Amino acid sequence: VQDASPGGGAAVVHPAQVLSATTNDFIGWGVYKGEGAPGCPDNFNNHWRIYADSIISGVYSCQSNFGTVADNAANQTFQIDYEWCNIYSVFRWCLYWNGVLKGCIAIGGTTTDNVSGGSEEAPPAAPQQNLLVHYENMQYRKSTGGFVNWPIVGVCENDPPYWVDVDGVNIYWIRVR
Amino acid sequence: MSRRGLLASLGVGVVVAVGGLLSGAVSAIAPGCGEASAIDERDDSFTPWEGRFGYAPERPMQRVGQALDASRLHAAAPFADLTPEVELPLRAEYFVSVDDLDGNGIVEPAVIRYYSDSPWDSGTTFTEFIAAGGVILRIQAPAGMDAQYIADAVGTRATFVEIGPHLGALVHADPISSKGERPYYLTWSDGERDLQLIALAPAASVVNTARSPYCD
Repeated sequence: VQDASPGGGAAVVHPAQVLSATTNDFIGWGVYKGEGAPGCPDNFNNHWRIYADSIISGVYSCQSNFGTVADNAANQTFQIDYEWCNIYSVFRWCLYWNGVLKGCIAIGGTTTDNVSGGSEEAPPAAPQQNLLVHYENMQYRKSTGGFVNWPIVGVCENDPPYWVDVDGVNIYWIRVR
Repeated sequence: MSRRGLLASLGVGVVVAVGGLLSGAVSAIAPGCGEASAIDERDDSFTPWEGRFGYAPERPMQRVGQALDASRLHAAAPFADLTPEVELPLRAEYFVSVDDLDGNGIVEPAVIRYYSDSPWDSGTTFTEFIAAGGVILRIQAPAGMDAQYIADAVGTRATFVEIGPHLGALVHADPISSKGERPYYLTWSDGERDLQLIALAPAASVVNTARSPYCD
């Protein structure tokens, strides 16, 4: 992707997103370049900045104090688990990057009937960023049982975002590399 | 017309500002059973629709659960025997048993009620339903999703209000579409159940509706 510049919008890739099955809340976990979102600063350089955004009780928030990923980095893993969060000593959605816990976020539900990966998008004002994203491994896990592969493994290269519906509920964990 | 029901005409009332019920978080407390006519919101900022990285997808809002008749619902969810005075017809009622917010391995079932002037359409999206004036009431077995839970998550965007003897967190949501509609979310727990009321309506009427089952 060309490095974004001021006025050039943003390129956003969120390999992992959970959507509450019973509320309209969500959490996104991924990387971006270019113009930031409210709460996430602009990122005009050759590294992707890791971010998390969410909605709970109708309030959008974005945070990006998790580090960066080089343009040529490979085998990056993004994972969201609903489990005990050691940072706050409560149950929360826990955000892992390459196996390291980076943050915990609350939303109004603990399960999702839809997990998203392979999404890539530019905010409405941004030009097409011509992204090509490959996902080598996309898995989810329910409240019982181990990780299973998604029914579709993603290569995505177009706006609008690419969604995968998983048949069923009680999805507690998703993991994307 | 109900005295406190949602969309009811606003009567005379005074919101009393009281501080200190919860550490550093309270700015406006309405009398627990009075009729609120205005809410002094703590933080009137919001995030515009444009420029966010992610959005909740436009999908049918009721994706899980069972539509139950009243008798079966009572047996499955006795905690849902609570009837705030919403001045719109109840169009759908779903029983859902998927969430385990407190992480104890036992799901807390929920009942989600949809009130609207229009007939129920299961394909309606959340945005369409709320923007058209629909009201959503979510009642679940207690699992810690109370006013403090919301305030911890959204900070000053939550204004504490009294819901009868209970504490509620009132949030003026960010726009739910590019058209800029901003509904209110009111979350509270009465110890027997956790509740959330969502409506594109004046803050005071949302609060009054929530108070209705607790006040004569």
